[in-house]
Amino acid sequence: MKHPVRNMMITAAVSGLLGGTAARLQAAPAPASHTSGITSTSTAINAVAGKVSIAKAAMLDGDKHSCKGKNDCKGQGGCKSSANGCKGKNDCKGKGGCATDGSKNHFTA
Amino acid sequence: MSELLNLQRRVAAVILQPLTSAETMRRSAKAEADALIKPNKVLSSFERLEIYNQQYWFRVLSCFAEDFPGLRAIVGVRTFEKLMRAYLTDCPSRSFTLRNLGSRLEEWLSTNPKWIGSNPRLVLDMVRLEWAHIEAFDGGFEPVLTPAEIEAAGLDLRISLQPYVRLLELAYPVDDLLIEVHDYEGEGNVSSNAARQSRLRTRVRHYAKPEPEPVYLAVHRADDSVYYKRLQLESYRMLKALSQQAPLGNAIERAFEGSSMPEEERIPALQEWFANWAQLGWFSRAPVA
Repeated sequence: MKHPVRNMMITAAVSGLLGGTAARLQAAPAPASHTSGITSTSTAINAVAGKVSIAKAAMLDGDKHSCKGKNDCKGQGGCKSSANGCKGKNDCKGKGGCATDGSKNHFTA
Repeated sequence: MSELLNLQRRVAAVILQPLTSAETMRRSAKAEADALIKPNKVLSSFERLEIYNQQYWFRVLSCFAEDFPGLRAIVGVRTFEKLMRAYLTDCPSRSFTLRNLGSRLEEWLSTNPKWIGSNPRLVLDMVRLEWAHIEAFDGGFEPVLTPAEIEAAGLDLRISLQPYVRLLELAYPVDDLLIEVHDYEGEGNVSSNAARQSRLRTRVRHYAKPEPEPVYLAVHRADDSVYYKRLQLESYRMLKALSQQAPLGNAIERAFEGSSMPEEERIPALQEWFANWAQLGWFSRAPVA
């Protein structure tokens, strides 16, 4: 690629970068979220983000990934072997073992 | 090896053993259970250890199934059930988080093609997308590039792509298929399982065209949702180069190498791509070499 053309292209990329960064800042009155870095002001973002696969509401559903990666489960014992409450039942399937404290889903944050 | 470590390994070996078809612990584990666990008033040694064996499998199977609904839609429910048991037997959970259960699935399927069926590329494309989805959902995040940093660097700017942005080159439009699958999954309470499965099979056949078009995709998150953004070949190459820490000028050259895009369209395209990507917060400063 010829040098002047290359420089023009880099300039175009940098100017786009500046424009997009400024637009992002204008669209974000609040500071970026700590966990995702994405603000909740998303109307402008949605226009360029593509197709949404699973919306936030679905991902935050208590059943979805509720236990994954959390240490809440650690040390909670699973089934109460003395009560034989879980033995041979599929009730526990996908729920990470029977709650030891009587609650149905003790993993949900 | 310490006595405790030895004990832990023996218990783990029994717990990780696949269940029988009746979802009970294998009888062959009885001697080991007797050696490892004391019975109590209501449960034998075997029954006490069986609880852990069952709960391990119930948990990992349900998490795995939740992570790969697209794969299940393609291979069918029965094959999927067998596939996930075979995979999790060969590749048991090795991480503190169940999020990583499927991290070795693509590699495992490539070396166990009997599970893939007649359209391996479609299956592998879906697995790659579903794994990218997981990574985009909770992948790392670096501070976004600021206007001051861009201005200060000028044409010598070096940038990095956010770790949660995953780039895929696919043979099949599995992004659209997976969105449909998620929609069908969401219908769980309003239509029968058999009806949903039947409609899903029809949709899978629709996507499994004999001569698919290549799809270039960025899987990312915005506002806590996961998005699939289609890319042009050139913009895909550009992002790929940037993700490999290429300087901006080199990334541009790689993007347009052999490209059929008319020259006069390239500069406006570049400006628009970078504006969009910056708006999405995809760029951070490149790490200092």
